[in-house]
Order: sequence, then structure tokens, then C-alpha cells
Amino acid sequence: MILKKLNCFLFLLVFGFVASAQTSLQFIPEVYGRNMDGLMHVSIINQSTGFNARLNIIVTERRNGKVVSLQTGIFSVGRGSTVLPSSAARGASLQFGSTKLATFVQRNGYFPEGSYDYEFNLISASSSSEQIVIDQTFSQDLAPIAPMDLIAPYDNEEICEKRPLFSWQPLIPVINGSSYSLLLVEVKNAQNPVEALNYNLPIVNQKGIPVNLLVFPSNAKELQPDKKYAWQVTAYKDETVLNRSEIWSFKINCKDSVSEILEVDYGYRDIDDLVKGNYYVAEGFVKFALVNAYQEQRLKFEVSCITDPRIKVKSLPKITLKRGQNKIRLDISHNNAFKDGYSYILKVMMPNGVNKNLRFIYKDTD
Amino acid sequence: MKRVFKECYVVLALVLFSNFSYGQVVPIRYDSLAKVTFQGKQKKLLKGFDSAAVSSKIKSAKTQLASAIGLDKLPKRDTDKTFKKFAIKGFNTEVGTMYQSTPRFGQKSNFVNVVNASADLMIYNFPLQLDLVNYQSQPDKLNPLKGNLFKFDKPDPRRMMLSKINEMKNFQKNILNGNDLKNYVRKGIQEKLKSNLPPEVLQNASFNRFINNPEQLKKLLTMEKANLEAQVQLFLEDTKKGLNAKKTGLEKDGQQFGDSLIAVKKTEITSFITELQDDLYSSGINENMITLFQKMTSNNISEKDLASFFYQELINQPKLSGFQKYYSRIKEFQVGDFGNSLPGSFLNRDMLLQGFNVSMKTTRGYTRVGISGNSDAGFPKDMGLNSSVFSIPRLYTYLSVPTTNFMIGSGKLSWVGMYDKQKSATNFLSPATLPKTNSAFTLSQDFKFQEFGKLTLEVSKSSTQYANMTIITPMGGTAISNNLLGNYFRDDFLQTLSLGANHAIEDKKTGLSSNMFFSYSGLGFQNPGSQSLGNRGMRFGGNAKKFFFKNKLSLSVRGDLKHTPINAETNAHWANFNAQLDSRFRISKKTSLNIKYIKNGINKAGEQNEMVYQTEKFQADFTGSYKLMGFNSFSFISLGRQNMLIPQSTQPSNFMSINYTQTVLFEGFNLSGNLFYNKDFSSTTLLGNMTNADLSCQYNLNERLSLSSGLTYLDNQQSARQFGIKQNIQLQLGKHFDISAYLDIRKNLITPQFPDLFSANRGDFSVRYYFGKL
Repeated sequence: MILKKLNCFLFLLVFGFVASAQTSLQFIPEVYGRNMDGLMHVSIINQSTGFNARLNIIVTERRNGKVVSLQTGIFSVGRGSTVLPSSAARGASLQFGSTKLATFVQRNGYFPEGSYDYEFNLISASSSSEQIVIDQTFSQDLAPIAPMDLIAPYDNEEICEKRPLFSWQPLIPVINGSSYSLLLVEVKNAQNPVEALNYNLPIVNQKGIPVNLLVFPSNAKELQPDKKYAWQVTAYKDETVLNRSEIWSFKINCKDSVSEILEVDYGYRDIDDLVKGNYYVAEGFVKFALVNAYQEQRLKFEVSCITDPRIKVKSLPKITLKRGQNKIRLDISHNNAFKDGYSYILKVMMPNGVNKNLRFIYKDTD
Repeated sequence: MKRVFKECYVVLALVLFSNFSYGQVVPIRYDSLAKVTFQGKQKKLLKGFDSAAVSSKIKSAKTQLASAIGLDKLPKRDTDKTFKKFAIKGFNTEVGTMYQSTPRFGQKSNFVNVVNASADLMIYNFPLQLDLVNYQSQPDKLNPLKGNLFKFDKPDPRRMMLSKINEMKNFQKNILNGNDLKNYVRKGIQEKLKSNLPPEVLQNASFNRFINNPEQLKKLLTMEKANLEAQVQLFLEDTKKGLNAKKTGLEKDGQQFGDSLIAVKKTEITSFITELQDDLYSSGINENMITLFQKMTSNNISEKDLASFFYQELINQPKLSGFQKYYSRIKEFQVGDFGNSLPGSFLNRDMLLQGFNVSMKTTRGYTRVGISGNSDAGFPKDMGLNSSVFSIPRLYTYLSVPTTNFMIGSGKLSWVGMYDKQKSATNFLSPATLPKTNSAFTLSQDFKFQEFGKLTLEVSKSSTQYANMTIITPMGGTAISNNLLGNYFRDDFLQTLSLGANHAIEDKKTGLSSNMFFSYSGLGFQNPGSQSLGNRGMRFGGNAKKFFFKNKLSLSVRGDLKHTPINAETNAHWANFNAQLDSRFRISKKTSLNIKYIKNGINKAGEQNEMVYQTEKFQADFTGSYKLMGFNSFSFISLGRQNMLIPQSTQPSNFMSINYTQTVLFEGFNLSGNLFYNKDFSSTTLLGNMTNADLSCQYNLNERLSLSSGLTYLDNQQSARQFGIKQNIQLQLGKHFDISAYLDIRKNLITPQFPDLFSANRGDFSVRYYFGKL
């Protein structure tokens, strides 16, 4: 509260020009002097009784002369702070100059680079007479704001970093007191990134970023594999958006290397079933269940390659069978003897002395 | 009648649940069109006592029936012939809260509470998806009446088919052992033929023809037993003829393949197929789905297949009025707050629109129409950013109609009109806007060149108009603007014109995919489909990716150049450029290396070129998984060197960052650690010397509860120094309910310089309930 009051006071001190003892205008040309609609972002501070008024605004560029003048409709100025009402803007009449610069503004709605004077005349409009209450001019050198593009992670990129470093282009031209905010959300099924930003709980909603880089906030939950994320950066000053980036998305994917972590457990089928079935497909693992009615013992098994009998399958994992039901998971994903699409026979010497032959096709997990 | 069936179904399921040891499921042919027919396989009910086979059958039957009577199945059965004006097919709700303390005096804490609800509805047999959100981001201004968004959307067929797809995937994994359906049938039959017969028997041409034709395969898998036996008999006799025809050395074999053997093989093959039929039906894969299932198992399914199947099911529903049959023609139907891009330029990006949007297939192509509002500021996601000079509130009307539909490509004509929309009755300083209209016609045409990809050309003409506007003539008088009164084409035609070209190619043979675009706009062209400044001068860019050495190496190039005019008299413009080169090497099965180069900047170009901002970055990422002391481990190391010149500084900043992640999977728990380290080499520091590390342990207390506990440390020289703990809890309660909570608590060892960036506490909490298909 104290800060807000202090802010108001500062505004008055810096931007406000006390035209009469009781009435003044607030306008920040560096922020709002950039486009036609920004001109409507003016507020009137009045300490005395209310009155009806209209506002004339004349914008001139030092080299090109008059750019535009506009006259709003009549509105009432109350005691305290009055924001220019929509009805006054809606009834405004505009007069553009005939210079190239004025035509540019007429078509595009924003002011190209130049040195501008913004003259505001607040005219009290009573039935008997019209009187200039405030005549106030603000000056500003400005250039239009450049697009602010995101840099990394690139749009639709797949990355493995679960705590990525975000970077984007800075706000150009520099506006003092501005900073960045970054919003990152998960994009759920059938959502598009724009909807995700508006509908989903943010993972990162970081305001007050001073530079055009953000290390993934250390206290935020790390990003999850196989999920898609959308992000957008906003440059702002106080409560006003100055510029926004496009909305980009990226996906976390380390699949090249983390198959073990992503492995889905499809359950273990009895080895008898597998032997009867056709072509078991082993995606990185051979998984089966068997019952050992005897004592704890080492499982005896060997694998040979059918597709290329020259391949010698060595360095197989050692497995100890417990008494009762055993779930066996042979991790062969790191064994170079196993090649994608090749057929193999796994020969298991069952504890009761019976041999079981399981044919399978090896498939790389990625 | 239907009720009786349902009850039978539930009773049967209950009986099987209560350990009915030697029974086998009575297969029920069930499909979503409510053709519930018993397949008359009762004789199998107590068939044999092959204990292993029977027990595994029971297991799989139990699983299938468990899911069949589970809550997720109930709504599906509601798709029966009954016609309901309104039905809820699935429902999902989530309440999530994020809290982050901001220690700066007087600063509000960062708080977001989001309540989401999503439902799959049937309204007059139209499937529609409804999403609702209540988004609160200011704890001192909690108001459930504000921060609400909603969206009605035509559901994504993939989403509607999700439970079906999962069923099919499980079937492929568990019953087909991961095989393609066609191959499974072929190999199964070949297995049966192989014993006692020579290998040539497998080269049966008519049999292969039958299997390779999807329609015939479907026929085979849906035949009644008698027909099936007759068909198998035909195959076998055909096979015998084939063997006899090859006289040399095989005569004996042909003779050996006598009637008695044919009868044995016929029984074996028929029972193999009928068993597969039973499995298919009991898994809910009905005859209409077999072709789709075959495509899915051979990884050949497209979104179009799913959509057409989905619409076919809808159309086949009884009591559909003529109008409802048009549903399948609707490509987009959105009402509420939805994300979409406007028709016109291919450069238009998605934005949040508030209104409605419909796109429908007509004879020549898609016709799209909509009325939507758009505003930039005041949305809850922005947490207090209440006004914007980036974009003004506006109202759009648009129409896009197909023009040509030639063999070579289709064309369309789009019109977008934009009007300012005054925002009133707001509780913040709402900036008034000047009455203005902006419209654009865009004519675009596609050209498809087989192996040379697709080229799109477009031309667009815009017009911008303020209301109550006059112009001061050079003589000093006033005149009405010459593009008033509908003089759309008189307003400096070339100045308000835009031309664009887009080329896309995807060649699987050479492993090349690329997309290039170019667009040029006159100084006065305003594209209403762009949320911010509609004038974009020149844009040029694209991306290309190519795989080499059997996908072991991929190279990709991405680039973008934007010229934004900033001067009305000279050619001065902002030139934003971005170039990225990315290469990925798969060193071995489990290791890969990724090298990236980025160059990015903004110049003020025109008569003289002035660099305003520039950055350059090299980055190398290494990923690998391996065994560490017998435990599966995974490492990710990223090394980046970057220099950056920002406008506030004359000296470039130069820094190096390392990002290292290590995970080790032990028996019953995982350990993982992250380390981020940044070193600044120049006097202009951006991130400063920074160490950011955490170590955490993930473990499951039981099947439902998984936890992760960790330690954190952060040191950013004089800016911040913190250490703390973090805890994550995930609890699965039943099939439809889960809770997750995350807490990160830190102690500041020094007072942080940027308290917004280094908050001390953060908590996330979410509760999720889901029911039905979602």
C-alpha cells in the first residue's frame, strides 16, 4: 500500500505536469507512446469537483511535423483519478498528416522511429464555454519494439535435459525497469500449446527475470521423460505487457539411452506357454516365469543365434533360482551378441532335468 | 433383453473372479454397436485339463473380464442402441496448487490454484469434449467467479479410441507375443503344417494370397466354424496339389499328404484360428475392428484410419437424423476459449480465441467459419499483468472457402476481419482503444509434386481503417481517406500486399525432411491473423533434417530471418536472425553424442548495419546407459560454451555451463543426482558463477505409494546461497484416484539479490480423479 502510494507520487513527480493547482495528467510515453491505442492510456488526477471534458491529443514528430491529432468524445472527470473511458475513445475523431510517416501510422497503428512530442489538451466542455484545463506535452525518442524470439530449447525439439537452460532474444529497444517472466506448462493429450498455457497448472511461472536467460529454477520439479512442454516469455514493466515471444514446445526424450528406466512391465508368462507359442519378441529382455520345486540353485541356460550361427553368445547374466515361483528377467540389452531382428534359441535346463527351448526374436529397445 | 444380457455378463464375470478353476471363458462376441451374440462355444467350457494352458487361459480371461466389468468399461456399454439426449462418457478432474514464497518485503507470494474438469459428452449422439478450468493466481483476490475458461471441442478420435487402442496393444503384446496379426496367423498355420511335411508345403500361393489381403484375413478371422473348416480344407487340398505338381522327389511327399493327414491338419488349423477368434472377441476386438487391428499391429495405422473407424461407428448408430450424419464431415468444432490459428497466411500461429470455430468438409475441400475474440492482458496465467501494449482486445470474423481441388493441389480463399473490442467492466486500468478495423483477403494454392514435395503460394491484401478519420492534405485542407467507403483496392495496392511461398518435403527413402518458407509484405500490410504487430516485412526460414548411415547420424539445420520495418521513409528495419545446426550420432546401442551450434542476434539494418544483440553457442551432449557395479546406470552430460552481447553492455559476456545427470537403479530404489555449474569468464556476468546441485533417492513403500527424498544446494556467488531438502510423494488410490505432493524447503545462507529468482520454499500439490476413457 505504502509502495503503491509512493509509486503514484513518483509518477506525479516525473511524468505529471501540474497544470493547475488541482488537475494533472499521467502518461508514460516510453511505454504507451508507441502505438495509437497507447495514447488512450492516460489518466487524469483531479483534486477538485468533477466536470465534463474532452481530450485533444496532438502527436508531432520533430522532422516530419504533425502525425496525428485526435479529439475524444466528452467524458466526465471525477474527483481523484479518472481513466479515459471507452466511450470517449469510441467517439474520437482522428486527423492524420499526409507525410509518409503519418500514412505508416495510419495503416499500422504504431509509431515508427522518431522523436515525438505528445501534446495533451484537456478541455472542460460545459454548456456555456470551453476552457483549456491542462496543456501538457511529453517528449520521447523511440523506435518500435523488435520481435522477441525464443532461442532454446527450439520449437518441437526433443531434448534429454530435464533441467534445461532457457534462452531468448532480449527486449529491443531497452526499456528501463522492464523484466521478463517465463511460463512453462505440460501439454496434455489433445491440447495445443496455447490452451496448455491457459488451462494447466504451471511448472515454472517465474517473474522478475533480469536477463534473457533462465536456469531451470532449482526448486521446481524436474521435467519428465516423454512429456511435451510449452513455454512463452513475456517482457513487462510494472503491470503492462511490453512484448511476448511466440509459444514454443519441446519434448523430453532420452530414449536413445534410457530404455531400462522406461521399460514397461508386461508381466511374466510361464516358460511352458512361451515354448508353445510362436516367436517370442524380446525387446531388450527375455522374461518368463518358472517353478523350482527343488532347492535354491543356479539356473542353467544357454543362448545360440539361429540367424547367424557364427555369433557366440557370451557374458549372459547369472541367475539363482529360489524355491517356488521365479520371475526371470534376462537383461540382454547391453550384450553385443544380440542384434536387432535376429532369431535366437534360449535353452533352459529346468530344475527337474527337462530341457526347454524358447525361440525368440531380439528387438532393440529404441 | 439387454438388461438380462448385462446381468448375465456381470454374473459370469463374478463367477470367474471367484476362482472357478477349470472353466474357460464363454466368448462373447461383443461390439460397440451392441451386437452381443454368443459364439456358441459352450462345449469348450470344460474342455480338457491341460493345466498349464487352462490356467493361463483363465488368467487372461480374468484380466479381460476384470477390465470388462471395471468402471472403465461401463460407459462403453452405454453406447448401445439407446438414444440419449445427454450422456457423460468419461470424466476427469484435477485440483492443483503451486506455491512459491517470495521473500521480498511487500511482494505477493507466487501462488496458483487450478481446478480442471474435463468430460467426454454425448449430446444428441454428438461426441463432444468439455474442458473447464478455474484458475486463481492472486491469493488476496480469490474469486471463483473469475478466472474461468471453458471449451467445447470435437474430440480427437485418438482420444476417443484410447481405451480401444490400449486393449489392442495389450492383445498384441500378450496374445500375439508382439507379432503382427497377419504374421501371427501365417506363422501359426505354418507351424501346424510343418510337422510331418516337407518345407515346400509352406509355399502355398493361395494361402499366402489369402493372408496378405486384409479383407480376406478379416474374412478368415470372422468365419463360422463350418465355413472355416471348408476354407481350410480348400487350402490343404490346394497345398497337396502344389506338392503333387512338383514331381521331382516330392511325389512321395504328396502321397504322404493323404486324406487322413489332411483331416488332422484341418482340425489343428481350424482350432488354432477359432482359438484366436475367441481371444479376439473376448478382448473386445470385433469383426469391424479386425482390419484396424491388423494395421495397428503392423504399425501402419494412421490418424485417418482411427477417425474413419470412429465416424463409421457413429454413423452406424440407429436413430441418427440426416443432420447428425454430417458429423463425420466436421473437422473442427470449437466453442469457448480455445487455441487455434486464423485462416490466411501459413505464418499465422495459434492464439487463444474466445468464440466459436467450425470447419467442415464440402465438395471441394474444407470450409471454415468463426467469430472469436482475442485479448492479451488480464488472463489469470499472467498473474497481475493487466494491460498490454503488445496487443489490443479485438474481435475476429473469418471465412475460408475452398476454390480449386485439382489433382495437382487444392486452393482456398480466406477473409479475416478484425475489429477493436473495448473491454469494459474490468477491475483494472483498462486501456480504451480507438475504433479500428483491419481485414485481409488471402488467396492460396497448393501444388503437389510427388517426390518434390508440396509448394504453397499465397497472396494477401489488407486494409486498415480508423473510424471518424480524415487526412490533412498537403495543401492544408482536410480530406476523407482514399481507402474509406469501400475503396479496398485503391489504397496503395503494392504497399498493402503480401506474397508468400512455403515448400515442404518428406522423403522417407533418402531420409530427408524439410520445410522452407518465404514471405514479403509491403510497408502498409497488416495481417489481422497475427496477435501483435501485423506488419512483418520479410520473413525467410525453414528447417531440414536428414538421416545418414542407417539412422546412426542425423543432421538438422534450422533458421529464421525476420525483417520488421521501423522507419516510414528509409529501409531501416530490425533484422532478427536465428541459425541452429544440430547433429546426433548414435555411437553404440546405448550411447549417443549430440553437437549443437546456435547463432542468434538482432541487427538494426538499413542504410547502415548495427549489431544490437548477438549470441553464439556450442554445445555437446553425451548420453549413455551402462552397468555400474552390476547396476543399470544412466548418464547425461552437457557442455556448453556461449558468448552473448546484450544491448545494456559494451563487452560480451562469455560463459561455460555444465549440466550433469546421473541415475543408478539399485534393487528396490534409484539414486539420481543433477549438477549444473556455470562459470563466467568475462567481467560482464549474466548468470554468474553458479553451482546448482541435488541428490535424490526414489523408492516405493508399497505398490501404491512411491516417494522421493532429496538434498539440494545452490551457490551463485554474491547473489544467493541456499541449501535444503525436497520430498515428493505419489499415492495411487485405487484405479481412478491419485495424489501427488512436492515440497522443496531451503535455507538462505545469504540474503538473495534477486528474491524473485531464488525463492526459499515451493510446494506443489495435486489430486486427480478420473473415470471412464479419459
